[in-house]
Parts: sequence; structure tokens; C-alpha cells
Amino acid sequence: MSREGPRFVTAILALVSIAIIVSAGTLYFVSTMTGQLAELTAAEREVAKALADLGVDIAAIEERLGAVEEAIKPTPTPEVTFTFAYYAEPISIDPAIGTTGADMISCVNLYDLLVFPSTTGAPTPRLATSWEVSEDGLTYTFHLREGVNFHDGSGLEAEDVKFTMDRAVSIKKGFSWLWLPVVENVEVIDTYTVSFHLKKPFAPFLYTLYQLYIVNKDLIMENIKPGEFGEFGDYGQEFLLDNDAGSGPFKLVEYKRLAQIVMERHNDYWRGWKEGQITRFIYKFVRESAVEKMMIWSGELDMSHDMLALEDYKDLAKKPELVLYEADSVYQIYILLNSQREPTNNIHVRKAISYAFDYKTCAETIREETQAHGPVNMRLVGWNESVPIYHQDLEKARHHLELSGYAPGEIKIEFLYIAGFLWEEKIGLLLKSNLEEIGIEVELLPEPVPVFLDLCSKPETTPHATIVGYGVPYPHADAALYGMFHPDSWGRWYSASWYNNTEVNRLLEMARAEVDEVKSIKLYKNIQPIIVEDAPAIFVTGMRHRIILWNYVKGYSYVPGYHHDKYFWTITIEK
Amino acid sequence: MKYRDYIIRRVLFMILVLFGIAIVIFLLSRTLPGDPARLALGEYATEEQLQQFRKEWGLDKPLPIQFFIYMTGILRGDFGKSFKTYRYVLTDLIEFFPATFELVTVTMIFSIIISVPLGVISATKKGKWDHLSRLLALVGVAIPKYWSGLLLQFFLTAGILLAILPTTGRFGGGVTLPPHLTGLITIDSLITGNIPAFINGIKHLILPTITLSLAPIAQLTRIIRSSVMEELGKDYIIAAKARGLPESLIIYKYVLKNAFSSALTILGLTYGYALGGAFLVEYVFMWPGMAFYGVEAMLSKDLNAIAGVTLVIGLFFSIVNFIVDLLYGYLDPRIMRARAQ
Repeated sequence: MSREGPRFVTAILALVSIAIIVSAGTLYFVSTMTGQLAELTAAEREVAKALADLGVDIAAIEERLGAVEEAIKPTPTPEVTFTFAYYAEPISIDPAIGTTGADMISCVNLYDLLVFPSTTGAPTPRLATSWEVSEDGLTYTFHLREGVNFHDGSGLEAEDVKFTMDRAVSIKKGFSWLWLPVVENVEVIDTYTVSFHLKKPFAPFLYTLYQLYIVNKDLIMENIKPGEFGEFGDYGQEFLLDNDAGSGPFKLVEYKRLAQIVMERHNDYWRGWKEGQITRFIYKFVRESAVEKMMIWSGELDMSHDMLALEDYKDLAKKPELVLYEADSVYQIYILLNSQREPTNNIHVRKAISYAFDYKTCAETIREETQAHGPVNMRLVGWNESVPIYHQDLEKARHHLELSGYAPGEIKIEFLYIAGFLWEEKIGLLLKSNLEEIGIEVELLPEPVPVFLDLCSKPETTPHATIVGYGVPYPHADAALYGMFHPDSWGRWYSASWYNNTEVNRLLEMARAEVDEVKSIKLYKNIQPIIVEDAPAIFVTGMRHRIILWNYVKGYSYVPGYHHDKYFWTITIEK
Repeated sequence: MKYRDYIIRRVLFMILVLFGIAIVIFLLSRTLPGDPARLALGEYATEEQLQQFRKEWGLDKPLPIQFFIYMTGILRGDFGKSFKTYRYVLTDLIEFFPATFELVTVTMIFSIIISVPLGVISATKKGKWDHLSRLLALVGVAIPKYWSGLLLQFFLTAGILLAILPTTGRFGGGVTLPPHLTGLITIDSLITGNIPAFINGIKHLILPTITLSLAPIAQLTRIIRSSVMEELGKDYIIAAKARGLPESLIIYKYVLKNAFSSALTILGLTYGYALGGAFLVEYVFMWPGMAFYGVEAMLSKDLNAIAGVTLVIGLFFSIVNFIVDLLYGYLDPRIMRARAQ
């Protein structure tokens, strides 16, 4: 009796597991069998029987038909697979919701844009063949390319463009903040003409369209679920979690979270295809950079991403079959100084820090990049080439410290960086040793991302110095100036300088509202020396974009923008 | 029938424990650093978007109301949606749990297969085998999984030495995935008769299993060794030897059964622990499992996902310990009798 209890239990457990396995297997086989049986309906069986009775040799006919089909079939394109891994996976592949790099890499390949950045960052025709801006700067009219098809075969028309913008500003997620304060409505003029009506003139408007990935209205409306948007339901948000509604060079085949996304060539893509271009794009997520390095070295990946450490690129470049691609990007490194907290609220303290920093060592040794020229990256439209730059000058630094009223040894500041980012730590240590020479103590504060974001959300908690690598959401000076140095952007981590200069605010608002492009650029340029004078940040370096490619990968080039360089239609494989 | 009462009591207790876990994790997850809105929406989010997010997810409601919504949801089996994947947490768990379960189970089976003979050998044949197992134990426990994983990848996948195994992932290289019946690739491919898929799944399992099993093998070997040695010194063993029973029968039938209780404890604990502790292995091998999903959830303060993962691990842990307790009774009838009283 005492042995029966556990024997009974083990027997039950064994029976249950066998039952699960057997029933699962049976279900599977039954479903495949019924699939096959369903192929021949009653009517079809009748016809087959009648033909057989007449003496028709069905088998021979089928064989002949098969042979004819083979003969007229076009020669299949050889498969060209391209494997690329990013260090993070997408949050959302829905273009109205995603904002991270991983999201954008999916969007730029699955979807298409009205305009696309050129090597200078200026807009070039894509889905729009031409456009006009009205005299008052309030109406942008685009003429769409005809004959463009979405992945499901339907044509891309003005309706789809209107739907895309309406959808983005209704859902209010993603990059909708670029358009919500600015766009009044979108008007369909005719099948291939669409007008954007703005509430007020907005100089960088065309540049913000680099984030407006056009979606397939009909496909989404066929797949809406109940939601808060009236006749539009949930606007297809659930559908776009796992599907694509795009017209881009690739279409979504598989999305396995935490693993990979597989895309296949959209054969009908309006730009056409030539030999060697990609037919199958495997987009993996590999978190650990050591693993990414191994996978590139062994050839499992054809191309690296751009977020490895400098040393990693140098190591990989040692292999003769690997090529290091470098270009100056539109991203920039800043050490933001909190201008609302003591002692960095004192302009002379900020200037002392700005003069004490060893820009040369940082640029040449730590980063191997070019020193930044002011608050706007050199490749951005609207950069002021004659903006004054700080260089290390300990005399001037000490002089400013004197003017500030603080004595050497009196000040202690915190330097915040993301824990684990070695390059940020190195720059922090450099700053620490520089400021020691003028009598300012620096405490390094490494924190994980959640804490980092929390600290930078309020002026009282934001440390005195915060290092950020800022990736502009659109390649225009406005993104840097308005995005970092205007009170409207407070709360985001790259506004951790809490800067507020009424003159700068006024000029920025004027520059944004200026209809004449030349005058607008001039205003943006005039703002930059004022900011440099106020020293709300140390402008460290312009970030260098680095990628490792296998030597058979051709056609890749950097494009100013936000991951627009990952548009892989341009890639050809020459093996 | 008193034993049946014992089982019923244990099950009820398990439910109570899970209830307690749900309460604790609700409170704990809200003390984690970070703002879920900011972490979910990314660095470009505006204040309006953050407010909208908080409203959408009920994060602006007072804590007791949030707790009520949370508990009633769990009782219905609805963990809500993940802030990050925008899908139901239950959907995410169904997708990711089998991957971790498969990895951890295969690891445990592999650990037992290696450590039982190793432990027995080092207990019976002293000398160099004993030293070897001691060294192995030390190394196995000391090496961080992160490093051993990377080393294995380096030498066996990257072509620096050999390139015979896949570097990352659970599946790949052009073979079709078997349908999601149990979610375990090995079982599903066997059920559907897809042998290439089975082999592919095993190939991807090899390195993560070795990495994850180093520490369990080390611990189990040492425990088995000391328990076996203790048993061998007992009188009934001398009596059995005197009666002429063969050595292997003595050890593998009688000694092991009596010595296995302490090993069973370790096994149970490691099994439950590995479900969450598989994170580093899942990270290095990009294994799409629940441990990785859980840590990501914690880093993004994805409250619903954190609750879901914790409850699944809690349930699993409880079930494993329950089975271990039952097995104790099977191994030692004295315990069984005590319980039935």
C-alpha cells in the first residue's frame, strides 16, 4: 500500500505524456490527410470517372501538360542571400510606431518613401517624381510615380499617401510628433497627385518626410480590428505587428521574435532588378558584439552593423577578405552641461570646462574622428562653417573659473554615462583628468539605460555633465538645434542641458517659419555661434560611421539620414 | 488513501504560493528603476506620447486599482499585453517558454547522464579519477556561462579553429521548421517524422546545452560522489558483497537509489533555477527563450511581461519541487509511510 502511491503517480504522469504526444501526432496526421483528400471534390471525381469511361488517357494528358509547363517556365533567378545582424531587435515593424534603428532597418526595406536623402541629405525623387511648394510655404504638392505596386499587387496612389499621414497622426506614436504640430490635412488632388496642407510654414518639412513610409490603404483596411478610430478600427495596428503593407524592394516572409526577420525580393519593385542583387535578406538579431564579430569572421554574416567598438572594426579589418567602410555620419557626440543646476548654471563654469577639455586627444586617440564644429554636425544641411570652436586652453579655462566666483577645489561635478559603454567611460576619464588640472573634481556616474532616462527627465536630477551620441531623426540643422536646445524638447535625454535662451528660441521659431529656403538656412546658421558662446555643451566629435563588409558585397554607401543607408536594394553580391 | 490527501494538500499549497508570488511581483516590479513609458517608446518620445502611453496602459491610475485589474486579469489567465512586443503576454510566453524548457530539460538530462557515472567512478575508484572530478567541479562552477559559451562558439563555430556547429539561434540553414505542436523542436520534428529538422534542432542545442550544463554537472558529480561514498561505508553493502553480489549490481541498483536523494534535491533546484538562469546562455547564443524575454522585460520595466514570466517560473519551480518530493517517497519508503500518517 505504501508503494502504490508514488507508483500510481508516476504511471499517471507517464500516461499523460504519452497521451499528449500521441494525440498531437494524430491531430497532425489527420490534418495533413484531410488536406490531401479535400483536393478531390465529389464533382472532380465524377469528371475523372466519366473521362476514363470515354477512354481518355488522363495520365498521358497530365504528363504532356507538365512538359509544356516546364518548357514555358522562365529560368529561375539564382538565389542571392544576404545576411545581416543588428545588435537589437525591432520594437515594431509598423512604420507608424517604430522609432529605433532596428525598426527603421525593417521599414527602409519593406516600405518606400516619397523622397529619399541624397549624399548631401537633400531630398531626391523616390515615389514622388516632382513636387512644388506654394508661395506661402503652406502647401506641398507631390506628383507620384505611376505604375508602382505594393507587395500584394495593388497600385500605389495618392489615397495611400493620404492614408499614411492620417494614420500616423491619429495613432500619435512613432515619429508622428514631427507632423502633429505642423500638418493641417492631406488632400488627394487626383490619382497621382497629393497635397500636404500645413498649419504654418515649416522649413524642414521635406526632410521629415524621410520618416513617412507609405502604407497600403486597401490592405490595411481589409485587416482592421475593432479599435478606437471609428471606421478605421485599430488602423491595422494588430495586422502590422506581423505583416507588411509596403511597396519596398523586399517583402516580409518570416518574423520570428528574438531570432530573425526574413525578407524576399519584391519582383515587381519599380526600380527593377539586375544580376547579383539580393533575392533573400536575412535580418538577424545578435546582441553580443563578440558573437557578431565571430559570425562576420566566419562568413555567417555578410555585413556588420555600425555599433561595434572601434577596436572591433580594426580587428575585423585584419582579415584580408573583409573590407572596412568608413564615412563621416550626421551623428555627433555632446557632453551636455546642465544649465539649470549649480554650478554648471554659471556660464563661466561652463566655459572653463569647455576650454579645459582636450579635444585633440579625444578626437585623434579615443574616437579617431574629427572634432565637432559647433552644435550642428558638419554634414547636416544648415551647418555654419565659420562657427567658432573651442580648443584646449588651460589659461583661458582658469581665467573663466576665476570669473565664475568659485575657487579651484570648490567644485565637484557628476559625469553621467551609460554603464558598459567603454568609449563613454574613456571620454569621462579624459574630462576628469583635464578638469583636475584647473581644480574641478569629476565623479563618474555609470548607470543603466532605465536609470539614465529617469535622471534626465527632470532638471534637478540631471547630472551636471551627461554624454550623449545624438542620432538626428532627420538630416537637417533643425533636428540638432530644436531637438537639443529648445525648451519644447525638454525631458528627452539629449536635452539634458535644459538650455533656454530666448534669443535662440526666437531665431529658431523664425527659421522654422521662414518660407525662403536661403533665408531659413541663414537664420539656422546665425543661431549656432550664440549657442557656442553660451557653452551649454561640449561639442566633442562628429561620429564616424564604420561598417565591415565581405569583399564580395558591393554597392553599399552611407547616406545622411536615420538608417537610410540600410536600404539594401543597392547591394550586389559578386562571388 | 492518506497519501492522496498529502498530494491534495501539496497542490493547494502550491496555488497559495503562486498567489503570493503574484502579489509580491506586482509590488517588486513597480520598484524597479525606470519609467515604462519612456523605455517602451524610445528616446525620441514627446511628453504627450508618454502621457498617452500611461493612460493607455492604466499606469496613471492609483496603485490599488492597478492591483485589482492585475489580479482579476491573472485569475482569468489574461496577463495583459507586453509594452514592448504589443502582443498578449500569454502569446509571448507560449512562443518563448518551450524554447527555454527544451534547452533546460535537455541540459538536465545531459547533466545526469554525465554526472552519475562520473560521480560513481570518483567515489569508487579513488586517485586520479577523484582528482579529475574535483578539478572538473571547480572549473564547472567557476567559469561564467557567458565566457564558456563564447569560448565554445569561438573554437567550434567561427572557423578560427573549426566551423562545425551553428553559432546562434535555435534553428536555421534552410530546413523547414516543424509545426508548433508542443513548441519543442526535437519532439515536434519526431512526431511529424521530419528527421532533417530533428538533426538541425539537435545541432543548435549542442553548444548551449554544454554551456548551461557545466555548473550542474559539477555540483551533481560532487554530491553523488559524497553520497555514494557514504553509502558504501554502510553495513548492508558489506553484507551484499559478502553474499557475492556483483559490484555493478550493488552500486547501480542499491547504492545509487539510496544515495540519490541529496542529488535529487540539487537536481530539482537546478532545474527550476536554470529556467531563469538560462539568460546568459540565451543571450550569447541568441536562443529565443523565456529567460531572455524575461530579462528584457525587466530592463524595460515591462510590468505585464515581468508578472507573466515570474508566474511561469514560479509555477514550474513549484511543479518540479512537487515531483521531486514525490520521488523522494519513491526512493525511500520510510518517507512515504511518514507522509501517509
